[in-house]
Amino acid sequence: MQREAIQKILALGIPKQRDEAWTFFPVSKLRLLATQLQTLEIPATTTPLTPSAKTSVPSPFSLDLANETDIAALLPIAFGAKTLSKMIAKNAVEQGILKPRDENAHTVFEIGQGAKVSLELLENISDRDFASERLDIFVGKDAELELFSAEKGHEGAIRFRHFEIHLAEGSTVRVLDLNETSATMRLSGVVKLEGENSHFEYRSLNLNKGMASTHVHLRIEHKAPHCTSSQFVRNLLGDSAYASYDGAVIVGTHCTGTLSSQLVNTILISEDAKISVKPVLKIYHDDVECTHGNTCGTLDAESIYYLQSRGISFTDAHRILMRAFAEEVLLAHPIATGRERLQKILQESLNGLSKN
Amino acid sequence: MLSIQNLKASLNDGTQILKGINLEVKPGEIHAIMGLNGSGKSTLSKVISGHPAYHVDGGSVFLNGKDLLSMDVSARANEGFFISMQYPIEIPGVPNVEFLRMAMDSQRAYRKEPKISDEEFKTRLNSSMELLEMDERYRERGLNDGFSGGEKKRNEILQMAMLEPRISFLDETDSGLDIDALRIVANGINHIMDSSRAVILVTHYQRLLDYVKPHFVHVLHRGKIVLSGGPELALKLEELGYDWITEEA
Repeated sequence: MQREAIQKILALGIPKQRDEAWTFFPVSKLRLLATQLQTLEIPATTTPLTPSAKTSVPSPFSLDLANETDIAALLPIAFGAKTLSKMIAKNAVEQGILKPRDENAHTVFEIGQGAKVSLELLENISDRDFASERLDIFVGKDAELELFSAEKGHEGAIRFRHFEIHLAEGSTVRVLDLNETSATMRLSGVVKLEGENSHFEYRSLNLNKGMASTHVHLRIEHKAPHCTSSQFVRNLLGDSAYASYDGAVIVGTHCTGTLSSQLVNTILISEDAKISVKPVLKIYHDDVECTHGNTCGTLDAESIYYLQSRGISFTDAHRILMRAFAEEVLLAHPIATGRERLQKILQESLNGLSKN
Repeated sequence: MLSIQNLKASLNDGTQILKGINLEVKPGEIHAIMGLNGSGKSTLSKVISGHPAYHVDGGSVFLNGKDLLSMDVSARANEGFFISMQYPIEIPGVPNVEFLRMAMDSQRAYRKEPKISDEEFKTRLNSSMELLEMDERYRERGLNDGFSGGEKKRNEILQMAMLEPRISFLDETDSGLDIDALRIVANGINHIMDSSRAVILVTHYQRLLDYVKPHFVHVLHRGKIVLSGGPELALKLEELGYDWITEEA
């Protein structure tokens, strides 16, 4: 697959600002990537794009690299990531962690019918400036998957994570993503609600500081009737941090009873912080309910005054309000595993942000 | 206790609101401030508490000899000044009980006292909630989050009961209260009041003053106290309105 991935990237070219999927990303930082790609040795032989014993991708699922348009989805494979494949048995109940083996990683999960899985994605702690990761997840009928991750990239680092999730009938996937970073990060994903009554939920909290630059590019495709999806994102941006959210919901022609929502709330703690939000709705059916909203502002001066009027210091008032704003992302999420850990990270992060 | 001398203040856009307020409040006293809408009553409370929307143009405010105007908002509160807001704001995500405890611990830290113990906090909260006949659900809810107008006012008095300020400035605490809630809130104020504390009430109606008996009543008009008297002044205002005062002023 590596050969195909490299060839596809070279065919697509390094993204430019005018490319819709990369509008908000600081593409100048991809120069390093271009250099690294040129040094890659392209394997002489071609491995098939469709799964086989050689690629370890579980049959009957396939990775459609030939039609891939986002190079972030191709990067780990192009850089030679070995595919880790994991199958969860039917009706199994499992909790686990997934740790990238290298700075470039590719993982394929097949979750069996009725299984319940909670998975923490550990961050790629490679001290190299560049790291990429791809996850392909196939969720069986009536199965449930919880994914959560807490990322802390160092300043100067560039991190890519791409996921592609396929949901069968009656299945549920919940993703909770906490980023406390000074790095440049791009999370891209394609979610395919392929079975009737499937449900996808994405929650994200970005606590960015320094020169952090985090970007989400998410495509949720409703491909069957009575599916639901929600996106709930909160950003607390300090210093010269920048965040963008480009979230699309695409509802197919026969997707009766679709429910989808997208809400992005941002608080700019510093005057130099920036946010860009782009909601996209492509709806090809009448009987649907799709909402989107976006707010941006600073911490509410009246709230700070109220807390101070009871004796709470200005710094603590800031911290209390930031925590209240941030915690809603975590509290409303049913993932119990790791919540304490996430809250600890949150507290430490807020202490760092409130000093600014 | 509280000494306000020739206090002048403006909105940050330059609109002058307070044009020379003089007021002396001693321990054990209850003062009522009445006046037409827009006369500066709420502004007075906010300026003393340090609201950032206002600019002090002149004058002084001393609490027990300490210059409040030189302090930030939290220090004024920690010195014992409490303001009950006319429109308490909602802060979802900050649990009421957690907020109360943080406020109490902040004030204790300011006085260099140890944090309140679990037992003492629980005992005081239980008795204050009982005094104000507050619903148990209060404990679980966010700060004023989804509260009715009356519940918010009751919550303000609960905070007052827990924080035990030296002087409380209650800005239209009676607005939005039904008859029973008014009685309960008034009982709460009377319960907290003692010879070492003072209360300034802003109200438009005699009904609150039937429960909380003021020693002095002041009329604020166009940013100045234009008339002061005893409790009988409130009764006269209830009967005659403000025309006779504004004409004289």
